[in-house]
Amino acid sequence: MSIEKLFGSCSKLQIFPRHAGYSVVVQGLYDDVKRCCNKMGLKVHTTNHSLGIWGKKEKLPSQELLEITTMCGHGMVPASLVKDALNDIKTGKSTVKEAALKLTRPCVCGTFNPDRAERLLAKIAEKK
Amino acid sequence: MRIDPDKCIACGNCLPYCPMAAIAMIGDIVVINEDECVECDCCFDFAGCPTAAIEKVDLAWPRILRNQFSNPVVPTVTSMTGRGSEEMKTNDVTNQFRAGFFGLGVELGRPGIGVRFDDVEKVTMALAPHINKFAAVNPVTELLEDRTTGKIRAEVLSEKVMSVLVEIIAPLEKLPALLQELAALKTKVNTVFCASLISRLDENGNSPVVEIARQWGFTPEIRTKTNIGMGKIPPGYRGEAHK
Repeated sequence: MSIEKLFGSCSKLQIFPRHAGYSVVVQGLYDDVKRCCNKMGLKVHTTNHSLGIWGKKEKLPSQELLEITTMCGHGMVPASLVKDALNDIKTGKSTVKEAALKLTRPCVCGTFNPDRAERLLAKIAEKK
Repeated sequence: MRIDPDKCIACGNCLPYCPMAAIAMIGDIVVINEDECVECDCCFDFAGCPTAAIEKVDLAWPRILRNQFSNPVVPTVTSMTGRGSEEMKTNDVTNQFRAGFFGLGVELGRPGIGVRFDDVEKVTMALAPHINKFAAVNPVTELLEDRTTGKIRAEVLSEKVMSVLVEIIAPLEKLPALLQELAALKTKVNTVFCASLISRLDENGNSPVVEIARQWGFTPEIRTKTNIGMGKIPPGYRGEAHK
């Protein structure tokens, strides 16, 4: 079983039950994570470092669409749905918030962040 | 997945819901390109077809793999949901990545491009000669016909899925050769892929793989997943940690 939680600051990490024995994985800038752990008397154990995206990158949608679609790690939020949501905003069919919620639905694991999607959609819609 | 032409009113609502852009309006008919469809169920589950024209079809082997590797809530051939093992997430308990070894995960097809197993095989065959083992609890490992050569079962090679994760463990001295093999695949596969390096940290919190990767001209990202060592070995556990 896994549980995911978004922490805005180092001090909030301290809510973890220290002695429950659960494995805990923190995502973020490694130096920050290490510093937070040291502060809490924890020793970082194992890391996973990405080497970035390789291969046929020309097949990828634009960076601004990727910023939204990649919030669903399983790829269930298509770039075409983001374009559709942007069109809904442009034509007045939906508000930015409604458009963000529409994008949230296919992400069945619940990691897609609708608040961030709303901010990003608003930014793109403003430019167009 | 298929669209019943007798029920479809060609409203086009389902088109943007396909992550593979496999649904198209041809004239006044909406059709699904079966070869490109990865059976992720996204159109069926979320497009809200007003006439229920989108229909799931019974998937036989090997097409069933498309659904298992594309819809995250469907169990895969290893009877796990998800596309890979727990890898470093529980390494503080399992100790499968020990000092002197590293893990390599190669995820193909994401974000949003998809991958066929003939491209996955290019990766498994390139890595196989250099490694200790493919991760045991991983659906790709289950599809290998030969774990020493990395050859994948022939009947699945043309199947297309949303994404696939190849996971291996190897001694640290093999890292430069593996990185070079991966770099050579950049122009040989017809999709995108992302490699990630897993390592047990030393006493000072330094990763030995980062240093080696940099020496060979690769740039590990500074944003990481970090296991912060809070896991405790349960009583009676007889996994890698006790070997």
